[in-house]
Amino acid sequence: MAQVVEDEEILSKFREEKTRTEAFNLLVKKYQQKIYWHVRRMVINHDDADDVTQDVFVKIWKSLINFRNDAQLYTWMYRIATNECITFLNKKKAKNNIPLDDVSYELAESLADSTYFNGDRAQQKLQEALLTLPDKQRLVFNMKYYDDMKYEEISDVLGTSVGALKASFHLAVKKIEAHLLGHD
Amino acid sequence: MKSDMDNRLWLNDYLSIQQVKTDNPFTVPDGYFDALHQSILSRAVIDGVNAENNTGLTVPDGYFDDLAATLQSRIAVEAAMENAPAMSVPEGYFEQMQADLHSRVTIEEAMQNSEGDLTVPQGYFEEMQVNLQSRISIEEALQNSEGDLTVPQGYFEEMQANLQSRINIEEALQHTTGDFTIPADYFEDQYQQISSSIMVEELLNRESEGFAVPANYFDQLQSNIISKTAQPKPAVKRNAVIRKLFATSTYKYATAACFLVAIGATLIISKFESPEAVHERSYIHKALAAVPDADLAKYLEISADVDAMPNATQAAGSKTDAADAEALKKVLDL
Repeated sequence: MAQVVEDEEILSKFREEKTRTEAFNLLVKKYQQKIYWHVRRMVINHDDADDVTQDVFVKIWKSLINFRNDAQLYTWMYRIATNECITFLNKKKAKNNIPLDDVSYELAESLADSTYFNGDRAQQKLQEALLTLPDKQRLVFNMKYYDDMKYEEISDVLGTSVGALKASFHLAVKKIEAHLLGHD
Repeated sequence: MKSDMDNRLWLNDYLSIQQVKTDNPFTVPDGYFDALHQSILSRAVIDGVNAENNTGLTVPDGYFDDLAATLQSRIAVEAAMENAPAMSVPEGYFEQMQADLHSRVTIEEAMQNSEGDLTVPQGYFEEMQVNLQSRISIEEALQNSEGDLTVPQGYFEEMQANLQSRINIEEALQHTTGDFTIPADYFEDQYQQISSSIMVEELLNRESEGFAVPANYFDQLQSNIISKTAQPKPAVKRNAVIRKLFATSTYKYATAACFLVAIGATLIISKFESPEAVHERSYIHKALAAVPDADLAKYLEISADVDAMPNATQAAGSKTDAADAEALKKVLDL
């Protein structure tokens, strides 16, 4: 198993012109899956997730030289990924000129038809319930449920207060439970 | 209390969610993340190359300063071109174009062919040397005589005054250029005058063309007019009749009659309108005249008793009857 490289070491190498590509290589290896799954759970479709993930890392490549240690590296990357996801979903809505509910429906259809989804019935229902939520509540739930992130970390990513996040998460869980019980 | 360290404990409150497996239900193609790694690096490299290329590109100095103005003028030109009417050519232009081109070609060919046919007057080149020599002599003579040029005596002394007067005249002319005025409606009237003159000329021309006079008419006309107007007739003397209106007898009688009528009318009117005459004509006089005297006396007696009762009672009673009887008699006598 490859040794996990510390963020500080990656940043240090990235600041050097000679080792910049090596540093970025290490960064991608370390975080590509986390970023991908974060994106995938938002855009559902694998091809879309692939495109968005690549865009996210290109932005990271462009912006990493300006990164200061005001936040943790991975929360900073999550913020970029989150912004890219929301931008992608908004473009999808604008491109297809469809309301939010229809986007959720389309994403649910995509989930059902996806080759790369092997969850059971309960997991599919959970995903369908998630797709009924507003984007921000879905983001909070995903980061809490799948990534086990702390409210403070989510707060760094979304730029929202912890109290507001707790309220959003509470609302999201209530809606999901109602959806699951309604379908059962 | 739930803490972030134990954040999975929240699932205990939501059994329906707790029953869902927390495994990631999404999958990716085999070897995807290896390919993703390469793809991201490739894109990053491409992006870096593009970025480097972008930094190598340069623009002329002040390009971005002028860009806004350039774009603005470009937009204005485009808008003007869009609003401009469609281009047009004179009527029949394309029909005549072939003939015009043909004639132009013919002229060009003729000019080219005639270049070798240029001619000079006969004996030109023979006289050329002599002409040049004389021209040279004239030029040399002029150059040599430049020092001998003279001016009239006192020319330069008067020159300043002449120039000053010339300048004053020029300025005066320039200043008065704009001061010329014309009467109001001059040009309107001029147009009408010209039009009327033309009409008169035309009418005269037409009359002279359409009417004719006997031969030598105008020669005899003057003498005829003079013969009819130059011999005055003798004046006829008539005595004026002067009528004296005041001396006639009719006037005297009429005046006397008018006086008599006026005096008579004055007397009649004054008598008719006197208070006695008015009283005579009044209704009360006529009504009382019809009443018998005995009735009037009785009436007055009764009225006098009623009116004088209080005073009479208070007065000395024996004289009352006698006084009333006298008053009544006076009234009846009236």
